[in-house]
Amino acid sequence: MPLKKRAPQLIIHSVFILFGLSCVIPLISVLSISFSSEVDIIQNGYRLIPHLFDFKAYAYVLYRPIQLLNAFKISILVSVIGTLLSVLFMAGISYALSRQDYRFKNGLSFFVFFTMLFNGGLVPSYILISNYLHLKNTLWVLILPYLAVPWFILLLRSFMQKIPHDIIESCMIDGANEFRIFYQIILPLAKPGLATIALFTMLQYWNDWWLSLLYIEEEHLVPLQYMLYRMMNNISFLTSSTNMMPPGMKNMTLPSESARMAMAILAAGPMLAVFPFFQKYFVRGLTVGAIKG
Amino acid sequence: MYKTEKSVKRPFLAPSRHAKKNLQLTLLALPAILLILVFAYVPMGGVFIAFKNVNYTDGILRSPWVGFTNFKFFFTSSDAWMVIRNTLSYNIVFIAVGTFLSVVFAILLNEIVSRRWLKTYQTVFFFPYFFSWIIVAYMAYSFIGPYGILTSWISQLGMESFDFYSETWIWPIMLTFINIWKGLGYVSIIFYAGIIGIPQEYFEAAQMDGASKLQAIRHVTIPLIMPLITIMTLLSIGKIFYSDFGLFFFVPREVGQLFPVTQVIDTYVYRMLKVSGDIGMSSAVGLFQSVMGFIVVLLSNYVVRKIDDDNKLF
Amino acid sequence: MARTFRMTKLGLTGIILLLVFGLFAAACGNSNNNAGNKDAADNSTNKAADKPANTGTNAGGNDAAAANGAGTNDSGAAAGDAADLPEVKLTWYFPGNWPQPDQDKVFAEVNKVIKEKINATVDFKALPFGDYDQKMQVVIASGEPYDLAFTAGWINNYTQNVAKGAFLPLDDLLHKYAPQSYASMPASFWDATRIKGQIYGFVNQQISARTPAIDVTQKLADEYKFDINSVGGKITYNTLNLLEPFIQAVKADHPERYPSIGIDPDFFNMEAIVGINVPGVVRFNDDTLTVVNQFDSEEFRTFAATLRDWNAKGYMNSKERISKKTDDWVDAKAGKWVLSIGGAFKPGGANLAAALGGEPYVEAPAGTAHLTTGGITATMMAINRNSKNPERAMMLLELLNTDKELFNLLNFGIKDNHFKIDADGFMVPGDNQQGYNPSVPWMFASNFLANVEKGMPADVWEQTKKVNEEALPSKLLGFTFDAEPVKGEIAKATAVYDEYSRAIQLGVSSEDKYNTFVAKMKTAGADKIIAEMQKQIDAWKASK
Repeated sequence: MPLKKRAPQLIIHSVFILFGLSCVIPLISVLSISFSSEVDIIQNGYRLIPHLFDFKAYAYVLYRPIQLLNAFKISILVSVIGTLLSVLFMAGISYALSRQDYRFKNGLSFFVFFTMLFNGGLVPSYILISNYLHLKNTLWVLILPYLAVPWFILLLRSFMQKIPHDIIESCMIDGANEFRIFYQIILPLAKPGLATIALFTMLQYWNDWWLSLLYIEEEHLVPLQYMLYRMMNNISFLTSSTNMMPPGMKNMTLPSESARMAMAILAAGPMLAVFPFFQKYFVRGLTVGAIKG
Repeated sequence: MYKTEKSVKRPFLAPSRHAKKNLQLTLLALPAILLILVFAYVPMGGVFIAFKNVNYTDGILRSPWVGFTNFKFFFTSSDAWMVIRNTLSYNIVFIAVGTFLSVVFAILLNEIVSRRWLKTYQTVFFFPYFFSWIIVAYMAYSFIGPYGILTSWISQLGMESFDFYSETWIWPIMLTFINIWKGLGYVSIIFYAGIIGIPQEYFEAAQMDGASKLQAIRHVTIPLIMPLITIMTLLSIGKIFYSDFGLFFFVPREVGQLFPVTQVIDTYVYRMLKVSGDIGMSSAVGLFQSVMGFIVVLLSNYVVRKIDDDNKLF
Repeated sequence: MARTFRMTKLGLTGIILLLVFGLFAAACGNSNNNAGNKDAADNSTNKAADKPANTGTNAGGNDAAAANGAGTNDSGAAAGDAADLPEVKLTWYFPGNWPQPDQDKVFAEVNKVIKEKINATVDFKALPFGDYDQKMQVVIASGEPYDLAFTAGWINNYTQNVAKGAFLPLDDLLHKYAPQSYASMPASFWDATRIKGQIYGFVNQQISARTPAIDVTQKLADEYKFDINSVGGKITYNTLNLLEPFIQAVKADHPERYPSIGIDPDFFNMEAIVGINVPGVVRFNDDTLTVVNQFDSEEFRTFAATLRDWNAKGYMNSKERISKKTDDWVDAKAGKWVLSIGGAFKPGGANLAAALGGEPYVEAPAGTAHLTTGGITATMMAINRNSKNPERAMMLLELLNTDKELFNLLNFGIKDNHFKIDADGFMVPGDNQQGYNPSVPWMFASNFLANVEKGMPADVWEQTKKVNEEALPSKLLGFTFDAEPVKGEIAKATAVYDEYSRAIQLGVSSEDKYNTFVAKMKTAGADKIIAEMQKQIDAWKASK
């Protein structure tokens, strides 16, 4: 039941616009730096609007883009496969957990919840994944460990709990088995919840560098964020690819600052583009726990 | 969170169908159960490493047991207190400030009349949540780095030039700001979703009683989203001995001088493993984190249960 | 209570399910990864047979293979050997300026040769420098059955790994499978690698007599008429001011440039027992071999004071650099260096600087070169304790150390593609050099096999050997420290060093702060570390 008066509305809007600006400006600044020339940066520092537009950083990063394109391919593959499988699996367990009449509901909830608090640590996981599951240097190692995230399961369960039990009951009386109920009734009804979780899962896959740092040693499996991580931490990526300076840039200094920012933009862009597709379901999908009433 | 609703339906199915139903539901949950088992539970078997002095001649399994020596190493170092203090105080501030602002934002969002503005705000507030910490670190650098926009503004204002990466006092503020900035859009929308779930009759009733807007918020909105706030807070408290590795590792760019205010347990363990390669010692710290987190959750859940049984987590 | 009961029942079911899924996942992983598949199979079937080799005596495990290879191997792996050996796959971890665009192509070529000569193929795990330490910690900790890994005092720490039993003793293997490599080095070099009497590292010979190099771009040297040889050999911790006129002149025109000065023990005429980041050094000229805390020494304080002074004068651009972990060649390429002091001076080293910095450089030694354990062990290969084919790994090292063509292929890429040999026999960049140029000629085997680059003296490796021979040997040569008793203290001290070193290096740590640093080192256990070092050195001295 919103306020109708003008003054409070104005105050709220100005607070929100300020915060909104703080969300957008960093993106603009990174974008602007990626379009600045190295000399300009050294003389004038970074600016929100470049002094002169300069495309050298992109020319540099996109010259011989095989590595970069490959990284994109890996990131996209992992995000898409990971999201699809993850949503399917998590929907399954969430549905079971959302059913009040499911026998193992409490035990299973605890089973899921416990892993949010307790973990075995880095080395045991590494030993398991590399020596027993033999997943090192495969695409699967970037996907499997994040397929079932307890927090997302709990979110989705809360959402599904809101689906009226009567619907399920009447289907059961009609003789439908659980699988049919799940695929034909629950999944369509839970669309907002699923879309929301899908977005988060996709984000998680897209932004992950940790699994690749640990388990990927082969160049053709390096995803985008790991590439960025390396650029920040290692000299090697930039220096070794300086060998690849575009012909016209041979004698110029390396656009090290702007090239890094250009990479950041290339890595961040796709996710921002994906968001609008999910937004429709967003708010409805994010219910945690049941609100009394 | 796991409370059962008061009005559980009487069983209406025959026992045999019940068993079948349970089986089918279990099958639906099975892939996720297996994944959690393998990737979360199996590695837990490795906690014994914390009590071993691992050498590779004997292999991990046959390395000698050393009791609590690995823990002693951590707790006798002068850094232990520092990193525990940093971890806890950052998390407490994040939980307190973050939750407060998110609830405020959620309530304000609910007051926005225009659908279009509402949608725009939701979208824009979500931007920071989309960026990986690596990208956030680049962004921060573009503001506070040596050529940074903020840095040059400060010097243009005639103040003495300010070097963000060597001033320790500014970092607690910076990190808090960045962390909240990144998560605010997300968490406030969770609360917002809770608020729009409140049936309109409650507000109408409040209005009929002559309650002002603020009174309605105080007496209707907040009490009704309290369970949600409690759940979210309890979940954060469970992670109070952990920190967001990316925030503390990437954003301060590993500047050594800043370690006194940026080093948290996770980064400390990571760096220690990197220099000493001793998995016993780092596993010990990891185990300490897990156990402490668990105790803290049980304790706070106990406290919540004492105060208000309805809001408990389990 | 009820819940707990249910949990255990659930747990039981879980364990059963886990076993089933584990099998499934393993099968799955294998079909995804043929290499892994083969290894896994080998692993399970050969486990029993491998045990003796893994226990450390290693004689038993080698006998069978020795019969295969010993006789023919003296000639340095002639082509005929291959047929007698069963085919194996070796896994080799090493750091470098990776990735290189054409690396897969080059590695495939290398494998063709290796396959032909010793019937093995190598899975090259080429990692970026920055990832190597972290990766090797988990790889070693997990007991992964890799075969070879690069190790040194500065990366993938040799002594720590040996102390934990990560590597295989190499004495017998060296005699049997790498006689030529073994003979190519003075015994003192091998002694430098010994820990508790055994060799664990295969030395990649290169410049072992160490002093940092001073590098300046040709362009700046010409422009400011700076004769690098006029200061060469004279720069130590307390004579940095000799460089000041040049720095001042360059700074006047190029404020964005700064001197990059690394902290290196040789710079202080000290030998670091563990590393410069851990307290405990012995001065080169100290006959009593007294271990001192370098951070508390006059030398270090003088050095820190000079840098502080330089920072006050605005030379250091510390603001820009504090938010970077280290100075690196990216900055050099971006035109930000006045000069750099660091690395190791070596004959022909200017060529390497040019390759890294992207333009011609002049180079001179900073001080007098000393032959130290750290210098000799700066580039080594180790064989994994869990390696299934240690003898073949050793044969591979011997092959690389004797087959000049193979070594150069791995180092510089494919001839007439990535590099060319000019009429005078010097190596020049090929048309496609950008495809493969890792610039780490000391990585794979003895640097002395490398093609001589144009611009290097023709007898560059003879010169290098001479430098090694003529250098003053450290009095500690042959002593290696067993770090196990103080590993906790070392980890803590390293953490303290990481916190303060960059500030010292950039001259932004005030005297007060420096004192805090020294005090924190003490709390971290500096004295205990030093006492342990002294104890071991005294024992070593007595045993000589």
